[in-house]
Amino acid sequence: MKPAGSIPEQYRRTVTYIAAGFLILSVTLYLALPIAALFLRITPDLFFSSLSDPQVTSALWLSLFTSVISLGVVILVGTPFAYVHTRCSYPGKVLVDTLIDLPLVLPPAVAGVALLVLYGRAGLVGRYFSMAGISIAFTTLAVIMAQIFVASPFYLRQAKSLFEQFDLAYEQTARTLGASPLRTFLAITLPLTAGGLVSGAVMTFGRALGEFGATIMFAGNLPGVTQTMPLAVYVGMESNLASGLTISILLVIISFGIMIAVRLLSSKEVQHA
Amino acid sequence: MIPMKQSLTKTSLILIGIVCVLLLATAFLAGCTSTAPQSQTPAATPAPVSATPAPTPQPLVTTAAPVSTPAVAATTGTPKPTFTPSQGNVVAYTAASLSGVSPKLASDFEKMYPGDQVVFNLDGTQALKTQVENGAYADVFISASNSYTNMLKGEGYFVNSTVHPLTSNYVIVILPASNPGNIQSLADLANPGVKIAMEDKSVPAGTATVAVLANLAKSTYNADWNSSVFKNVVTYETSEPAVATKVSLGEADAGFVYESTYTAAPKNTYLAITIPKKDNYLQTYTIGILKGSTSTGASADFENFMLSAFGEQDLKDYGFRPL
Amino acid sequence: MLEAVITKKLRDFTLDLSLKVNPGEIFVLMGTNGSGKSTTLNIIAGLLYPDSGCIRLNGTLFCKPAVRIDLPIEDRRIGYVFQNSAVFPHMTVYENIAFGLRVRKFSRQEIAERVEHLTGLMELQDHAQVKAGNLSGGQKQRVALARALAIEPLLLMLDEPFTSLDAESTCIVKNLTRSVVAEMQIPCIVVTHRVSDSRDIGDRACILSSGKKEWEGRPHDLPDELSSCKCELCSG
Repeated sequence: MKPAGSIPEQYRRTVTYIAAGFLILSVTLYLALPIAALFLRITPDLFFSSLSDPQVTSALWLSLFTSVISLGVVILVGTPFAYVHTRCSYPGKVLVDTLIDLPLVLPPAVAGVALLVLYGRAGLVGRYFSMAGISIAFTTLAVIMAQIFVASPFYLRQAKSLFEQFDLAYEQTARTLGASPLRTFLAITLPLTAGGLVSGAVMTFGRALGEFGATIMFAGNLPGVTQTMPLAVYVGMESNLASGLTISILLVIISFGIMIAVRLLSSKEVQHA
Repeated sequence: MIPMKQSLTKTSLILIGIVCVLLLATAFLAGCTSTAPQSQTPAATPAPVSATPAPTPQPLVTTAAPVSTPAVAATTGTPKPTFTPSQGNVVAYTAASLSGVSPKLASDFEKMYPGDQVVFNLDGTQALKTQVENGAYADVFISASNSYTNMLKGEGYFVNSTVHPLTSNYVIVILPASNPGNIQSLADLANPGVKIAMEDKSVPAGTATVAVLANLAKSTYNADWNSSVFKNVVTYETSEPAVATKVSLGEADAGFVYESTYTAAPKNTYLAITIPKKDNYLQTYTIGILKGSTSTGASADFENFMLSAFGEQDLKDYGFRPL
Repeated sequence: MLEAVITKKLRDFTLDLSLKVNPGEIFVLMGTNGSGKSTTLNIIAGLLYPDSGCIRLNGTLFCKPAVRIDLPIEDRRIGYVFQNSAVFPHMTVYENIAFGLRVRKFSRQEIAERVEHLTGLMELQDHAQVKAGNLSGGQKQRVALARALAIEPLLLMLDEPFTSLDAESTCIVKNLTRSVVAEMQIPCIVVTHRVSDSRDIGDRACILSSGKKEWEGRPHDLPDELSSCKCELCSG
């Protein structure tokens, strides 16, 4: 009888390979098959004819438009904010730190309710806007605000982390050479953190594009005004399956594009280090 | 390099504590203060549903009196328990407009059939239909739309012999109690700047609303009124209760919902404008057992309960119209 | 001339010393890790703020906490070379050296002249267009020194400039430092832990221990082994 542990080397290796292969295959299939099913459920003709469906095109245009603006706001406001937040210590910094992460754990529907109760016509703040004739809920602005609320943590956390880990020696050297803090930030810090920031931006864009719960609660569902692609999918799936599937596929394609962009950018960043 | 670390200083802790206390205090205060009671305009007619001919605008209904007939005493009371051999769990896919009455239905059902339990999945009928068509498990299906029921029957999901009409509902227009849009009649719905909430056309209540508006345009108002009303729609919600929520929050000036939603709501939540019966759309609810059900005994118990006097009474109490 | 009197409470001890460095003189600051050498340089540069004291360069008051005077870092015109060189990796050698000049809005021609001169001095002419991130440690240190010298600083400070250098680069840097400091007649502080380096370039030296000057004198008078120091020390 063979003593334990003396299984021939080749058998052990084969078993390991098979187990590893099985593991990789099952994870890949679990992620890939649902996506594949989307593509297989619709015929190419139906897909292309749906592309001219006004519900599809207006949702596509609205989604891209609002997500780009949301991203723009997050980057323009979030970058200096993250920088100041990491470089300065101020009272309540820990609280702000926690608040930045809050939208990540808050269910989107809750975020939507909160925004509605604050900025809605009858809301705490919204009532004053309403008196001035500005309506916020049920407008495209509401879509953008909802997207910014749920998606900004992705960028802010990334930017915070990058600036925190950034070697201060670079900034200090620039300062001794005569650069003001602003110039130091623009000429030294930003270029060297750009790769990571862009990754954060791309993730933010993806999250904004896919936002549903807060949007439908705060902005409502009106084709051409607030019916973004995720909302159109949800509504379409019940009434017009072809358009629902088409929009879903479009979202998959865009998401894939985003992910590929992130991979390319982060590989570029490694070269820098 | 020079570290600039932030340690959890005493100041920060105190600040966090103060903020938490403030938030709790605000929540407390908000809960304590009630909305100021609105001055009610006197009701024009005692009977809530009047069919006034031609262009005179409908009077506002201001009471929250239930639509059902007043003779109610006899059938209320706890149902007598019936013990059946089929003790089980019932998964009931139910139209969202029954959200309010579902807890009462559940407890009365369990009193009538001790040992049985029911779990409701409440959503727009269209969403539930899609789920069932894609393999979701349900024992009983309560649909708010005949056409969806017929589709499911045709596709073979129902045990057709168990499909029965259950109850019905009319459409009504609700307004926030403060009436921010100053809507006095159905004609005012077409006023510029009015914000209307409606269900998406895929939701049964949405199709009903579209039909109602078409009827009203044909009989009383005109096509321009109809298109103006649609221009005023700010959101097409994916379920009927969502419309009610938008109105109750005061974010919409008006919303189209079922009468049951208005009746069952607490006093002073909404004002309402009734729609004449002749122009209205009577939504019929059906109940049926699905072929895929494995809890057939308990499902039959549940259907019995829903069709019994007790089920009917519960529905009536929450504003549904018995057939 | 640099005159500095510094007091600052640090985590483990209080930094308390006074320095005087004459123009054209190289002052070597020695001591173990954590004895306060880098902190001293950072305070003089303006990156840290002392609790009390006074820092004056060529008569100009840099910092005096008592009257809340604190000249901003970018106005002190100090050439400071960090321990890990901190060359900007995304810029070329040329751009690195030109950085301080560009900030001060020198003309393109002036910049070109100065950079060419310095790259020649540092024997880096062939690498002018190379991204600084791709250089060796020794080359990076030379770029950092050139970059600091480009702005014609009034004070030069080098923090452990020889640690990551190969023998050839060490030679170049040592010779250059001596000649530049002598030529420009500026005070210079060099932090190092090696007695041999101290003897090679220093005019005066002192040993810091727990923030206080334990010894001051000429490098030649330094003991071969600094017995009070614990690690990384090797004799000449």
